[in-house]
Amino acid sequence: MKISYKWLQSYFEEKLPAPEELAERITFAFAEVESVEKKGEDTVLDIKVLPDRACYALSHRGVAYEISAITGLLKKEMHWPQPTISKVRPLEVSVEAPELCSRYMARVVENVSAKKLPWVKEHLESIGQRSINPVVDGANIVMFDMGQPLHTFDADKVRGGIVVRRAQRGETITTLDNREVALDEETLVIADEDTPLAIAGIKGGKKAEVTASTKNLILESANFNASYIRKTSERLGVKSEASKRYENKLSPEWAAVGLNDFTAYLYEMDTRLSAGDITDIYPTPQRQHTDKLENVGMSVGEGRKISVAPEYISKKLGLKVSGADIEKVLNRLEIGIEKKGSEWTLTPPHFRRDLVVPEDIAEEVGRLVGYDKIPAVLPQRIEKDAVVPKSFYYEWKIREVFTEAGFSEIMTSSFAEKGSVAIEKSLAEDKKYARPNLRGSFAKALAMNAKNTSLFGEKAVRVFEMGNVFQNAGEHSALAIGVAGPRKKAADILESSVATLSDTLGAPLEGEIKKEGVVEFDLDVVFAKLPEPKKWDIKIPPSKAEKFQPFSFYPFIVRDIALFVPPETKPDAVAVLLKRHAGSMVVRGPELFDEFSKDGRKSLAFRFVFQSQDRTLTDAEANAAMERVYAAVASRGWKVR
Amino acid sequence: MVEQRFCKAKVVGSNPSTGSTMFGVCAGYAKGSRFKSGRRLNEQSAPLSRGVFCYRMIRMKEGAQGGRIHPISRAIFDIRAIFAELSFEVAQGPEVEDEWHNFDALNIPKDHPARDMQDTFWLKEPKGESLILNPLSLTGSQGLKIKDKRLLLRTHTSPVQIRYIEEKLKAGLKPPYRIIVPGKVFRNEATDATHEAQFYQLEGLYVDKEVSMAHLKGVLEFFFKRFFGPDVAIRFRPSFFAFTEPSVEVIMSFKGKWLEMMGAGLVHPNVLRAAGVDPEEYSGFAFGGGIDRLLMVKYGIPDIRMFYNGDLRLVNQF
Repeated sequence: MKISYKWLQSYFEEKLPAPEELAERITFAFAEVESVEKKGEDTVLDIKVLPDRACYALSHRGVAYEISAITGLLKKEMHWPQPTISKVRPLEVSVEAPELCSRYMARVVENVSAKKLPWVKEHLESIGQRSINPVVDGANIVMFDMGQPLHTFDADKVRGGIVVRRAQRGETITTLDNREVALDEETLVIADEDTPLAIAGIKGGKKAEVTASTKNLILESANFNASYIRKTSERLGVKSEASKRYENKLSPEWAAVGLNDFTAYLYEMDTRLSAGDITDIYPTPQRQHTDKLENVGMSVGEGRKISVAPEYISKKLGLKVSGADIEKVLNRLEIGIEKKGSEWTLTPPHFRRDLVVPEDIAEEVGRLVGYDKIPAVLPQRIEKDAVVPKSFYYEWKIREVFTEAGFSEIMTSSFAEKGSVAIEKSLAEDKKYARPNLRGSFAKALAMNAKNTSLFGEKAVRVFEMGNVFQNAGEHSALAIGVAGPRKKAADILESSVATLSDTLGAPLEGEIKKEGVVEFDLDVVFAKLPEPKKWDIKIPPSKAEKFQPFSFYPFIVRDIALFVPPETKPDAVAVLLKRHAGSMVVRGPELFDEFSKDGRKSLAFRFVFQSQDRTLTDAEANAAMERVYAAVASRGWKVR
Repeated sequence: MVEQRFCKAKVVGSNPSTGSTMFGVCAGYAKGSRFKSGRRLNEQSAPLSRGVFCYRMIRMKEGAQGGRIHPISRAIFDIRAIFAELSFEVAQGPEVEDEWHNFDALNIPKDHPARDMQDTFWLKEPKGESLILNPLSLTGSQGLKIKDKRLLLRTHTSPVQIRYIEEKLKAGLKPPYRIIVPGKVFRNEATDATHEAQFYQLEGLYVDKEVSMAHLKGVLEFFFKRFFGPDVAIRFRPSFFAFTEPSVEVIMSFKGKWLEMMGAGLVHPNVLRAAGVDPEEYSGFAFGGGIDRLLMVKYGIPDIRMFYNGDLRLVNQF
């Protein structure tokens, strides 16, 4: 959420730490600050409010509360002048679905002459909001200031009273952004005696829209069931700043504060307005009837007391925190403390609906005392070898055997075009199933790698993969082995490698070589026959990598050169010379692949692989490089065969 | 180029002095252990009497390179070794999970957005006989209990926390438990250079009489310094996960930058309770992070999708 530094400062008499420093402290005690951006005279902090804290911190006041807790600076209480109650038109309000609407407050305000307040535009723009009209701007300002969503209807466009009810099938509403939305019984609406005026808690409608000429208003400040709002806004595809706040379990206590602040705003705009009495339908006030609230789908722990001992907090944190320090943190968080010996009974403020269990209190103390203060302590060693699961051990045995036999391990997609375990909503047409076997994508990977053999300097590609596959009968671990290369040789390598593995494990492997040169085994079947491993004795070749070397996805070109040199000439020396003249596109080579002596001369054959990092190399470019190499060879008096 | 000879000795090994790999292979083997397809072994190596093995030595100049292990596997190899020093065992669980283990038991509310279609790969009801979750490597082998009809591809390795504890308690083994769970997880989200529908997670769990945030810091600092080198440092930052409280993000300074590496915290009492452990008596810490991410940071690998396209141009570098 975007937070204006200046706006935030208005909550404090004392000067706040500079924006960058403040951002750092917020990040390590409250929530990550994603950016700090200078905007004219102001600075905007983008704070990634965590989901559990979104019930109280999606506002400047919520963030000011946190800053007060972090820094110890005193946060001001905001009070603005309120109009005296006047006689206005009567307003009938009824809530027909109290399970979805825990509180509904409304107030009629008449004879409003809307005018722009000088500070409003600046406030809205600082946090990336645009100004709409003075009344709507006021509702938004209050929401961004203290977190309560507010709505305003043009009282002259409302027929009869306000009803909070479920929509009827077939009803529609045109929202403020001119979208026609079809409604059903699942959807809660705010309606007059004829038709819906708004999708409750989510979006206002056109019918009673407040415009620049609106004179008489009905103000709404309410609270809706969080889980209902989330599901409905998701289902309808309509999201708003209001729905975002409601779905995070905003405290219904805020409704009254929000309505007062909004009234004060309108009063500042026009002191001659007439504000009527407040209608407040709030059958189960949060702080009194915890059990009832649970029945209407509110979360556990509203108005709950939490019992915790200071010693418990130190134990959880692994850091000795004194009772006095804990008390200081709790005071700053406005959490009430009642001490009975070593047991403290805590009462969180109404808006901290995230605080339910003692562990929540440990987190509050931990983050505000500072996680950096927690020492790093290793748990006591256990004199016992750490065991590994049987399948884990034998999978590593397979890796050991195969890498020694020149096979490399690859991983491919766990999804497949065909199979028996179907995914409800897949990412793509060819990923509709959890893979029924490895060989599908494994064979494709084998073929792809076979095209790159020159890059690896090998004639045959030898790969294997282990992973889980999914069939109707269940999930099992599988092994696929594949060799691509000269046909007979490939089959030989494959067969003999399987035999080696079978021998090493001491269990027969049963599989079938497919025409792509791939064989696959059910490892669960194999492992079932093997004994429990005694100890971890797996050895693998050390890693070569320090840093990843980017490789090109463009085609490469292979060129060979064979030449006669005097018998005493060292192949390495020749390679160095060739390399020096071959240019910058050489990605592999020159590699000696043939060497023989005949008639007092030595024949050497080298292979180059050319490739560009950023384009497809042409034959002409490869030829030009080879021409330079030939010239260099000739200048030495050597002869190209 | 390919030199062959035959011997009856059992030789499997390499010859680093010549720079070439010598691998001894069993080319003829006892009856009954042939492939089903029955491709005949070539004449020189067969037939042999029952139980006698013949090893054909193939010396290949070209095939001089030994095979390479996938970087993800190699990371798991290293991670196992590091945590074994602290007596953490490896545990595993199924990739197809039920809703209860993946969400409910981990204190994730019924209407949590993570359960939505866009984050989770839900499975259609399997045809024919119903899908049974297999016991991949948990000690028992009688099949895993399905607590819930709705099945999914696990979105994290955390359900293994629950499965491991259930398994231990069934066998009458109370805490302490110290496990790491390296395993594949799935997220239904658009893929790009840093997001992939499948990736590997490293989960850690320690349950004992008095486990604190200090232990969490100790263990993670030990791990990160071993994995990345002694110069790295870690810090905790507040975070939120339904299954831990307090919850922290673990950030690491690496080459002058602070990077988010893992989520962690003390196991939420509701999670312990769901697994059958009394939170009044025991507490625990848990952590979880992407193994892919560990590698991308350590080696500067730019794209997570490279791990899963089977390309040896990546694997051969490790």
